[in-house]
Formats: sequence, structure tokens, C-alpha cells
Amino acid sequence: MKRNVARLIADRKLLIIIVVLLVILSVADRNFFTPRTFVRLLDHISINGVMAAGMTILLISGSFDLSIGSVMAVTGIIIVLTQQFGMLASVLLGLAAGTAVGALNGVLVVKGKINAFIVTLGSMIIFRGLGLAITNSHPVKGRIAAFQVFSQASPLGIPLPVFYLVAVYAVVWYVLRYTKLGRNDFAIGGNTVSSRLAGIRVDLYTFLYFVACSFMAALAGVILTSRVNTGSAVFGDQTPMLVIAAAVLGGTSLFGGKGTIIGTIQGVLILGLIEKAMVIFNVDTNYQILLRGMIIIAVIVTDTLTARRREGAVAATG
Amino acid sequence: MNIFYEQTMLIILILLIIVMSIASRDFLSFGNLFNVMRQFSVHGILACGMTIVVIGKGMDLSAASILALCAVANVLLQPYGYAVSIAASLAVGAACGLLNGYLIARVKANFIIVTLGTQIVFTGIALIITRGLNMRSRPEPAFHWLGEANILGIPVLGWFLVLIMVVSGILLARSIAGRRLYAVGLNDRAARASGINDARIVLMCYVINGLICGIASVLLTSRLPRIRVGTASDYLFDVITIVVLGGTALSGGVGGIYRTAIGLLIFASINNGMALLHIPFEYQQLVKGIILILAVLYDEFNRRRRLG
Repeated sequence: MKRNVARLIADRKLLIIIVVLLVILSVADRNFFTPRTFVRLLDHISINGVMAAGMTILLISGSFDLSIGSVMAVTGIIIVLTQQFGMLASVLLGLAAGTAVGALNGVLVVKGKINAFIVTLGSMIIFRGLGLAITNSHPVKGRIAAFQVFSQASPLGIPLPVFYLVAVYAVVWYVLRYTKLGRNDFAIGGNTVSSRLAGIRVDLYTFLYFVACSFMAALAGVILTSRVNTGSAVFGDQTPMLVIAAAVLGGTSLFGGKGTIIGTIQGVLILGLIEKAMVIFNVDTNYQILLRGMIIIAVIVTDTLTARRREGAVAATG
Repeated sequence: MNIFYEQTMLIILILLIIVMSIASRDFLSFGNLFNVMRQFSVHGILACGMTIVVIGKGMDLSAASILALCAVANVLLQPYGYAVSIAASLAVGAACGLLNGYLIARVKANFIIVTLGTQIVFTGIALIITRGLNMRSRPEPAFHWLGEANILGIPVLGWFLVLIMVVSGILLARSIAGRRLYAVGLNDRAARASGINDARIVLMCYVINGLICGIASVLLTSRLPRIRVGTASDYLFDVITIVVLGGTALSGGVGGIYRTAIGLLIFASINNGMALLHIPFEYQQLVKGIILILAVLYDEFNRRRRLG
């Protein structure tokens, strides 16, 4: 009985954290606990949420991507600068440019056999530099006001980004659970060598996961740009860390082979609620930065210790 | 043929110097050389610490934030005299390194995520202390001397750079701990099996790197009249580029201070050359990014050659 309760708590620990945060916030701010606040919260986390979905796919396969912040920034700049060709064309060009970065990362990792960390660190610097170069280090303002509809229209009183968020999570959930693309993801992350021996085209799939991750980052770039109708090369410089932290908090392992999209959205929600709490409690911006860093370290330490305990348990029983 | 491969970077450096001195008449003047020495001494010192960490198959992405935090400690404590403030910088640096080292070597957490996390933490603390504002960096006159004086016609900063390079070079190449570090970087399991306490060696790497960041922070504050937390954060990618450019392998166990010195000279020549040729700042950033990618490809090429 006691063990069952303990396991129930362990299985639901993210939900419990979310509930605790909600209670704290509702007590601290009388106006917090309303449907409107939830919708605004979801709207707020949509950008990081979409990116975290892509990152989860990549993390499960055992890789990761530090360039997503730059991808987001570059997508926005391209959209704003190509608006003269029409709104739809500019959005497609932006998405294509962002996704192309993922393709480049994927090729370098798969064909060049270079460490994913180094490749994506390099592309993070290069594309941020490229963004600075083409904008002359100044933010660029969009000309088409209608573009803001993408993020600011709210059919049924719910902002469009919330629909994107739900759609992305539904698709990724389905892909991970019911398709070959998803099952191979877990297989490759669990054991690359045996996946290859079992006939999985590891290189092709790893490449696709990089592309998927960048595509999601580009999508987040569309939402962000449409929200502010501005492109800037400095957008998103802390994003990769927060997104990785959200996924790992949700139970996706940095060591690959393990993760769920449901966990990731809970991780994103928790980080979003903490940000919200820092605003409600009027925490100084610099303390917010400190707190964010401490959360990232706490998450990684917990993830490592859990992985080690699991290994220990396997060694003991096997 | 072998010597050609071994010394690729030295040859590139020599070609670079020839090209730059033709492109700009000022490049080889003593005035410019001493300027370059002052400007890149902090880079060079940080690169020594990073080289040690990279040989141990790690990387410290929080190095620039440690630099910032140490610089803040240094400036705050200058009213109590230069001895106190320098000691504080070194202590803060070593403590930051100890935190990184503990999480990486003892807890065995992934070094990339750990140092990215501590990067945010150290920057946050530095921002909280300074409230994000500029600081007058050297109220204490001793630091003016350090930043601006010459000994035997060569800037004091340059002497410091040479001193740190020689000491860390000897530590790596001649000491027992240094040889063990190479063994751990090449194959940590084999090293452990042959009785090396690999966790302690890795821990020491990060502590030494933190200490070196502390030393660099003293030189940074003495070189510039004003600093901001942001000033220090620009150093990270430059330092990684220098180390990789020199040929210290990211896969661990290969490299050394001599290589990093060549990497530093190439990096400094390119940057100084771009400044002398009035290339706009944004393009300089872009060129730096491309150099890092080329350096990484070169590293990969070297790794395959070593594997045969």
C-alpha cells in the first residue's frame, strides 16, 4: 500500500508540481484563477512549447540542438525582409530558411560524423552572426500589419498560437506513438548500434529528427515574429537551454531512448508557471536569470542521478 | 609529408602574417604588435585553462561568466587594497570551478548542460551585484600599472600571458598530473583501470580553469577603464575557437599549450587584420563563426587521420 502511494506520487510528480504552483499563484493573486489567465498562459508558453516538442523528438534519438534560438531569430528576420513578395511567400521562405539550418546540422552530424554539440554550437554562432550582418545589428520592422493575425487573432476567444500548440503536440504525440518514424526514434536513442544492425537507416532518421527540430523552431519563429512584427538577431539567446530543461524536466533523458511528449508539455507548463510566479512576486529580472540557471542545474542533476540509479538497479537484477 | 600535417597551423600562421603585412603597412609595426598583445592577453590566458579542460574531454561554457563574476568581485574589493581584491578574484574563480568540477566529475552530469546552467547562474549573480550597470573597473592605482606599464619595453599583460602559458605548458607536459590528464582524456576507463583517480583529475581541471579565469579577470579589469557583465561574455566563443584552431582535440587527450599559442596568434592576426582593413563589426562576427566551423572541421580531419 505504502509502495503504491509512493509510486503514484512518483508517476504524477509533474502534475503535483503544477497543482502546487497553481495553488501558490491563486493564493498570491486573487485574479489568477480564471479561464482567461489559463488561455493567456498557454498563449505565452506556445513559443517555447512548440520548440520543446521538436527538441523532444531529437533528444529521444540521443542528439540535441543548441541552434534553435538562432533558427528562430533568422526565420523572423527572413520573414520581415521578404514581406515585399507577399505575406504567404515570406512565411514560407522563413520556414524554409529555418528548416534548412536543421538540414545542414543533420548532414554535418550524420555525414561529417561531427559531435552534435559542436555542430549546433557552430551553427548557433554562424546564423546569429548572419542575422546581425544582414540587419546591421538593428531590429527590422515588418511592413504588413495583417501578418500579426497569425498570432493575435483569437477565434472562440482562444488565441491562434494555442491552436498551433495543441496541433503540434497532437501530431508529435501521434508520430511518436504510432509511426515508424517515432518507433525508430526510441530505437536509435536506446541503442544506435543494435538499431543499425536491425536494419534501421540510422543516418537518414537522425537527419530527419534534426530537420523536424529546426522546423519546429522556425514555426516558433513565425509565432514570435508575428506577435511583435519585428525581426531581430538577438531574439532567443537563452531559449535552447530553457527548452532542453523543459523536455528533461518532463522526463526525456539527455542520454536518449526515453521521453514523452505529454511529459514535455508538463515541463513547459511548469517553467511557464514559474516565470509567471516570478512576475507576480515581482522578482527582479537579474534574480529571474539566476533562478532559471539554478532550475536548469537542478533538473540535469536529478536526471543524472535517476539515470544512475536505474543503471544500478539493472546491474543488481541482471 | 608528416611534418606538413603536424605543422599545418604554423604554416597557415606564417602565410597569414605575410599576407597581412602586405595588405596593411601597420600590421608588423611595434605599436600594433603591443596593442595586439594587450588586446588578446586575456583571450590567451583563458585559452590555457580551456585547453586543460578540453584535453580532459570536457569543455567549460561558463568560463566567460566566471570571468565576469571574478571581475565584479575584484572591482568591488579594490577599496580594501589590491592584495585583497586579487585574492578575492582567484578565490571566486576557484570556487566556481569547484562547483562545475563537482557536478561533472562527482555527480557525473553532462558537462555541456552543467556549464551552460552554471553560465546562467554566474551571470545572474554578477548582474544582481552590479544591477546590470557599468562599473569603473580600477579605482586602485596598482591596476593602472598592470594594464598600461611596460617591462623591458614589453607590456606587463604580455609578460603575464607568457608566464601563464609557460606554467600551464609545463604542468601539462612535464608533471605527473598532466600525463594522467592525457590518459583520462584519451580513455577514461583504461585510465581508471590502471589506477588513476579520473574523477579527481577532471575535478582539478575545472578548478584550475576557474583559477585561470580569476587571473584573467584581474588583467581584464586592469586593461579597461569600465566593464560591464556583458563585456566578459563575448570571450567564450573566441576562446573555444582559439583552442580548437590550435589543434587541441575536442574528443580529448590530444593537444597542448604550444598548439593553443599558435591558435591564439592566428586568431589575433585575423582579428587585428580585419580591424586594420576596416571591415564592419557584423562581418567580423560572421568571419569568427566561419573560422570556428573551419577549425572544427580541421579537428575532425585530424581525428580521422589519427585513427588511420
